Amino acid sequence: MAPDDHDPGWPGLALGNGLALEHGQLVAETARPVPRTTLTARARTGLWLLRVVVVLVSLMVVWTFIQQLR
Amino acid sequence: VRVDPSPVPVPDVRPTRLTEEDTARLQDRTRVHQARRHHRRWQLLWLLAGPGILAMLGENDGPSMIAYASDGAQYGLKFFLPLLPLLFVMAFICQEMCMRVGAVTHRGFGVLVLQRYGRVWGWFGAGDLVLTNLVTLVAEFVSIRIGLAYFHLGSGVAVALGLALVTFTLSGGRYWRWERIVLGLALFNGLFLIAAILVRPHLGAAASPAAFGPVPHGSLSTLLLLLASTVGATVTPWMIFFQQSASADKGMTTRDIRHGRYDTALGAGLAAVFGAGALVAGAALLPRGGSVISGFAGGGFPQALGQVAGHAAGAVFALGLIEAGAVAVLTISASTAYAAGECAGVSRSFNTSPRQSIVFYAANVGAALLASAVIVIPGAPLLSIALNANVLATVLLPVSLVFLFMLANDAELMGPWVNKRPANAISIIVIAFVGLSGAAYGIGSFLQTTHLIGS
Repeated sequence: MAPDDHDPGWPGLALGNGLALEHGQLVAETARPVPRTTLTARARTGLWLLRVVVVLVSLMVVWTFIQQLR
Repeated sequence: VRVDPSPVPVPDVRPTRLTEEDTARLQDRTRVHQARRHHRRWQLLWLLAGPGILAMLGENDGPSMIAYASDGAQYGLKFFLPLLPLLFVMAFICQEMCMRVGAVTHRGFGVLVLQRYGRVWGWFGAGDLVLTNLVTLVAEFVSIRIGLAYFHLGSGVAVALGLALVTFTLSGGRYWRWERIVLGLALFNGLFLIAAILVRPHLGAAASPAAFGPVPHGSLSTLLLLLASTVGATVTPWMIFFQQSASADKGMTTRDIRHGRYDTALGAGLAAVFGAGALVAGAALLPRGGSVISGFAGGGFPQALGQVAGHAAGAVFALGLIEAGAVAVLTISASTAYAAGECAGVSRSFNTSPRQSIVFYAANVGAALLASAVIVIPGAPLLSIALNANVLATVLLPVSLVFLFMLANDAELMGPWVNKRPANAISIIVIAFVGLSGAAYGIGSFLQTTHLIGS
């Protein structure tokens, strides 16, 4: 099958001796969820700590912005 | 006899039928395949360039150029001109990881965080993105309005222009078409370089060692605001979502990672040069101590530049602001649309029609529409919004960067393309720098506003 005359309905994707579209790129494949990973307790704590700090600093920025408008 | 440089084995598993999205991507990938097979290097670069340049030049947006020009107007070239290339090296490090994760997994950032680390973290990330994107989009329309004001055109024209562009670029139903149109527009970011040339800077004085002071004078609060907004002008959450999703939507694979790096590096280089252009143009206002910026709401910056360096410089700077805002409206709306589709678990690709991906297209137009409504509010504090958009992005960025870092280090997901040790060391420094810049301004300005510390 030549690279230019592909048939959208054709199930295979091989073109010459290479591939134009990898199997993992297909919509049917990317729709499959990747397996969930387990975070360690330390990683979870670190992420929550970072999240809390980020929210607090964001609130400070918003509050300062509002105060500066007055 | 020429042989395919890196033949790939045909997989055993075959799909039943290709979707419209698959077919469109297959066409693009076929051209890449042919260019690689026939060793057409420049064509291959042309075909694979896009997400990196768009992310970098998209981030050279209205608020960013305002931040650079404000740095120049208030502090001259000292400190910020040498800092700028460093910031874009930092941006390259972050964006290269996005491109690599997208090319390896064929998935966007939002969906990977959601599926790999759970819904809580996925939705937190999406929330950060929506918040910063909406604020930044408002700032983009502000910059279009400021640019148009120089030509005596009002906010209605700014809204119409932004929305017309979003609608027009979405009309093709192809990623390739969207990408090429936005790339064409993004190259006009070079207008800031022309503006810098038109102000006739004294490059000899600028290049002398005395010109590069370590830390500029001025109030700590203002300096931290400018530093945080300058950091936020180079890397933001939307860039992470955008480049990873766009790399996947473009159909990039592990074989394209090298060209993805070229694309990202080229984008970073262009963005640094054009950003420096805005800084140098802004420095022309230094003799006035940046006081003219207070008149920004009425289009003061290009006007002031016009008075100081001539009408041409003012006009080019104004056109640059229109371009920077317009391109960013397109890319930021796209990143919002990708994230919305990924979090909703529905189709999200430019290679689909609006009927097939209603959430994707509705989020794209809806984000722009919502933001455009804000700028028609009379008396809105435009300069404050523009500068604080970047600051907010800087403050929220570390969480996205940490997840990007975790994804790039996920051996199960990334296989041999996992982060190497030197990349990890540099990434940790970048994340720490971004976190400290945002936190320093946020906490410092809060304490000053509450009079707990002096300015």
